[in-house]
Amino acid sequence: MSRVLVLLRKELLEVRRSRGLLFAMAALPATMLSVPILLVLTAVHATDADAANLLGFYRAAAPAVADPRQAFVLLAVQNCVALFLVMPLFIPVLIAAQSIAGEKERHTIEPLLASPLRSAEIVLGKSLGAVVPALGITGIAFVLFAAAVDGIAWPVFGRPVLPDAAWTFAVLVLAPLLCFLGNTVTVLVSSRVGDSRLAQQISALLVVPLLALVSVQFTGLLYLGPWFYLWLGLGAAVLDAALFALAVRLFDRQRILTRWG
Amino acid sequence: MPAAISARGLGKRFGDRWAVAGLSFEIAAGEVFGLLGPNGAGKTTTLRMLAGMIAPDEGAASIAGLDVARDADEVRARVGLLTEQPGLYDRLTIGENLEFFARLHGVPSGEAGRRIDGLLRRFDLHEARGRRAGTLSKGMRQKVAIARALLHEPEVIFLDEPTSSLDPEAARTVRDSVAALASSGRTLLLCTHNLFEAEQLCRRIAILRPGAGKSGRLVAEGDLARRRDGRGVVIELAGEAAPFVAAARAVAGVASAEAEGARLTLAAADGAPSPVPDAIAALVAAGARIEAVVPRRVALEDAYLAVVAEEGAS
Repeated sequence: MSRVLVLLRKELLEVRRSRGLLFAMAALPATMLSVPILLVLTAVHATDADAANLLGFYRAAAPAVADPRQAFVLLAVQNCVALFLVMPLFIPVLIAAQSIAGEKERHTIEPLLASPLRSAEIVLGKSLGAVVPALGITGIAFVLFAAAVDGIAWPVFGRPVLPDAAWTFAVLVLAPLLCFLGNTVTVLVSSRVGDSRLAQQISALLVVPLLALVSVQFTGLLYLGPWFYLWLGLGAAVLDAALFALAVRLFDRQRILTRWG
Repeated sequence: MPAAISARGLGKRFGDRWAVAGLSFEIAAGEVFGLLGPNGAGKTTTLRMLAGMIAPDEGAASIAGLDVARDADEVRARVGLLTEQPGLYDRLTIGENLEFFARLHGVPSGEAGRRIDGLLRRFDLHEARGRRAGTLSKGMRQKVAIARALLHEPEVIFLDEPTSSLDPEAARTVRDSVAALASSGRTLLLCTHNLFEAEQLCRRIAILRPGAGKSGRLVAEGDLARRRDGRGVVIELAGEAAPFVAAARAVAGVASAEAEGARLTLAAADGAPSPVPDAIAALVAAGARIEAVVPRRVALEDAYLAVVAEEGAS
């Protein structure tokens, strides 16, 4: 077994045994998904007139469907993609903040740094240790969300609404890229500061731009369409590669051992 | 055959301050070497450089012929390190902690299990294998950490303050474990400020001392066995020793004779045959009633304090 997989296995075991972390990881999807589900529920129970009024408000974003209630449901589902993506971006922050800085706090970092692991192996192993559970939770959350939406919207559509192209792209392409981004930023910060809480607080700022865009989108002033998600994916991929290389480069055993904060 | 550990002018600077400077010594294979010094003398920094964890800023060092800066990855694979803090993963069991490090060192699964079993039995931890590390006592944690340092059967083992922060009972257990290691023929470098521990475990020692501009200078290196066999005796008399000082000093080969209460301390002159039999005969002839004759042992503490005092004066 490669050393990266050995480290990954240990990281997953630690995550699995950390009740506080598991609770935080489960609480986030529960909160994040309740809003979109309520939104779809509202759309399904709206009158045609109310739905038409609302679609008028969201002119640019309104899906080209004749039935106003169907269009309202599709609009709600479409607007929730960005909100959903906050999850794969943020969950790795929760886990990865514990990685380097957490090991410093618990004094477990020195034996790890004294092992034959190379810097790139430590960064990769720690990263996978955050990305794998985050992607697992994101996947489970999507399946539950899709089932809830399809169940709620069945009376309006008579067929499943999800997964559609946008959500498939979001779950299969954007979620892993953002997940890796959230993790790499946190590993980077985590290896430079001496406190896991500080690492978490700094890294959590990463979700602010995405949350801001989601908020603006709900006001109707902005439409986050396919091009936005395409560019988001491209940007995340470039940042992932650059930041991972930077994280490996900046992973400095001496600094980690001698400067604890 | 190269020395197991060799340092030549080794130095490390943090900012403007030298943590260690100009450090040179050699440790032969199978030797137990103590690196002594007060806190801040640069012991841990020296150990981290030798273990391939941080790169030196001056000089060079090698472990079994491998350069600690150029071959750092290989050096880390070849040495065992007992860190000052045990650094166990509290949510993992003892077995899982050890298995993790065995795998990192590339020990095959079956072999790892066999070695872990053996080490846990040796350190009397076998029954506790399934216990989470977070529930262990300090002594047990330190023993697990020692076992971790031995899993890959390293040629060279570094021990950084192995008993600091342990209660006397746990410290003794750990010292016994280290003594067992020392007798197994491995090369051990023990960093400590505990002189008793160094005296018990080490054959040779070096003393590091912080300096004004440069810290971590090697101020003394020597053979403890020779220090222990300091040439001289303490003679305990039935009554005051002062009246017999002149008789003792008159004996050929006696360099000095000092009285303190009922004790007469004699030091032999360098190179001369032992004056003890003649001194005893002279004392008896002078009317002294001798109760005991004890070889005089120069305690490491005396030697250490003398070295530190000499350095401070110079």
